[in-house]
Amino acid sequence: MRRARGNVLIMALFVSVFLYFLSVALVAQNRQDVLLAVTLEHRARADAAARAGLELALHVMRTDPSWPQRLDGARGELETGGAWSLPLPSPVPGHPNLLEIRSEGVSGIARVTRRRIVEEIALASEDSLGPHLFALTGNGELAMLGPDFRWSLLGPAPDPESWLAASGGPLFSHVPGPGQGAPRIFDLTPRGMEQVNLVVSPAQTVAWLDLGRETASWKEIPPPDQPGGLLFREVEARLQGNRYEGPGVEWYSLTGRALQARGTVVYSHARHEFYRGARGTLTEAGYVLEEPGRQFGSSALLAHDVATGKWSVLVDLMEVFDLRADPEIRADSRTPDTDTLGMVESQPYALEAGNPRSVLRGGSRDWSLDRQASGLSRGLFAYAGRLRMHTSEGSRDGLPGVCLSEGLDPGRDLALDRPGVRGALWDSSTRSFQERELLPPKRIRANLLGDLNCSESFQEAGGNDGTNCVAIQGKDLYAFVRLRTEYLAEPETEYLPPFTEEFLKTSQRTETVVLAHFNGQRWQIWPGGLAEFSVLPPPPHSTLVEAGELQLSPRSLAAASYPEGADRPRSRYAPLVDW
Amino acid sequence: MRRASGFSLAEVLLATLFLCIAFFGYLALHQRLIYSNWKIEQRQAPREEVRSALVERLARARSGETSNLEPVEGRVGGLWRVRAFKTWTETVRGRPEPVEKSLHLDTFIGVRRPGW
Repeated sequence: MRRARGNVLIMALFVSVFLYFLSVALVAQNRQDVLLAVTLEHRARADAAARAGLELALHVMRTDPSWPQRLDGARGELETGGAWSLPLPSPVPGHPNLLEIRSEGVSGIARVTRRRIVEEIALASEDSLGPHLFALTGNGELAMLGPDFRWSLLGPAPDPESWLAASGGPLFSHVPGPGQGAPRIFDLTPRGMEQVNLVVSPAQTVAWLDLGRETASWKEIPPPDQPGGLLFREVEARLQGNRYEGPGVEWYSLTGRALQARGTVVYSHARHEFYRGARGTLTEAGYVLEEPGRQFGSSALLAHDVATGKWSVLVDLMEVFDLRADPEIRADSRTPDTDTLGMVESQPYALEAGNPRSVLRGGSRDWSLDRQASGLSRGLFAYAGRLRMHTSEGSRDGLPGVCLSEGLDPGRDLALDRPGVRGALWDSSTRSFQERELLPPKRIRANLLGDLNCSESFQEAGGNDGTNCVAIQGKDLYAFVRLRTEYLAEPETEYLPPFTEEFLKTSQRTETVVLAHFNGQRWQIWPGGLAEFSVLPPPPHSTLVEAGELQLSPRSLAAASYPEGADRPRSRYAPLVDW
Repeated sequence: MRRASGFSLAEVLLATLFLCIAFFGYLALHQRLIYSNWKIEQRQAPREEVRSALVERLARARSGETSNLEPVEGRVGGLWRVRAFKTWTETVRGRPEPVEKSLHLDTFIGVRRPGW
């Protein structure tokens, strides 16, 4: 057999070439490993930069009203090397109240994009400042949710039983009046000249809260029942020959717990009182009392403008033409419940005393029937130019229901998807914290709070409790709302704070009370959005609402307006989900 | 004329030379790659620890623990800088003493108490 020479050489060359290609492949593979390792470091930096961009964007949106100009194309760099860039946050299609913030982090060859959906909670009233919300604590102290969106205490409330009232102006409250609530009258009686015993209600007046940057003090409005006041009239007793005519005194005293406000004007129920003096004849032996003095009283509604300092009468059932003669009293007028009051523009409404189905309309001389409600009403308020009733609807799904009527029921509108909760989770296999969705999104139900400690005492044909648990400023409406969510147990999961060790070890149904805001279109949780609800503790077994470290009464809520020098955002932004 | 059969000495020597160069080259490369991978693996754990520490600090900051955070310069209250770093030593071929290496990460977080 013929053997060709040089075959070994060719084979050696072939093996060498094979080893060469093997080496190239090995190097290439290793380069990928090295690249991956190096990229991980850059990737961590880029991720940190992207996170920083997101947080900065949200911070700017929350603190600067002109954030669109500041965020469009914003860039920055971290101390450790990563850089971020931000396009202008854009609306999420189909969700006008949601915005997507996108942040791109870059470090070396790594590029990471992070996104965050934020809920925009916008004030509806563009012509007014953001509200200062006021409520009472269980101890009768006044609490305020100020511009920093934190509840703080302002000291004892002047009258814990009074409503808090405000709308586009300062906060008003009833306060105990100074001294006697009625004038002292001396007249002829069967026992001679003496001070007349008048039937008077406890003296009270109205005060407004003067709120400075560091100070808060109540300024009392001079009550209308004081001598020398604008609504106080009197004539002295007189003797014409032997004919005696006693004094005539007319005054108004504030009554009831209901209070409404529009800007600097405050409205309150009142009693119009009139004392017509006695009539008699003096004789040599003494006197003959022909007609004893008499006190008349009727319902009235007063208004006081803090700007002008004047009281005025809106509704008055009694007319006193002559201070020495009997007055005219409208006998056909109905009697309003002084613990209810609603003002639509300058038109007053009240529920009828002893009949919470009847809504009365106040005229200048009487209260007449305006409408009959189909359900029981717990109070009246005006919103968007219409009178609304705060009605009791009974139980729904185990939640005692109270609604605001006419499409304002958060039980229908605030059935929203609660966002999933993201957090760090300890992974025992890698012995490191990993971010993941801790709780999947849930559907939540809501209903209005405000009847917790009134529901048992509220009965048909009984008196109204006068709850004013709705605060209104322009088109912005605020109320305490109860939310309920059901959680399924995840016993194997370990959570970092704020989740406790017991968190989700057993299935549970949680109820949380939050402050909700309605802007005319949708209900939203004020001021932190749905994300805040995710970490709120369940309410205690009491009738009070947890707000930070305070426990607030749901019975009274008011949205006042105080001017501030600093320009601040008109919208709140609450993160819903990151990825 | 009768032709010679088998391999010439020159052929065998040349082939052996080629094979030796290729084999020892491949062996050296392989050793280098093994060292390189070992070094990467050595750095991988600290990297993961730093990233994990950053995530943990962010989670703690979200829960309201802001005692060890520093505010971001030029921003009004509420925006904090979160840092995480790790220092470790590496043995480097050719050097008798281990070399100290470190990795620093920082980012921002906006912390608001519930109620904001």
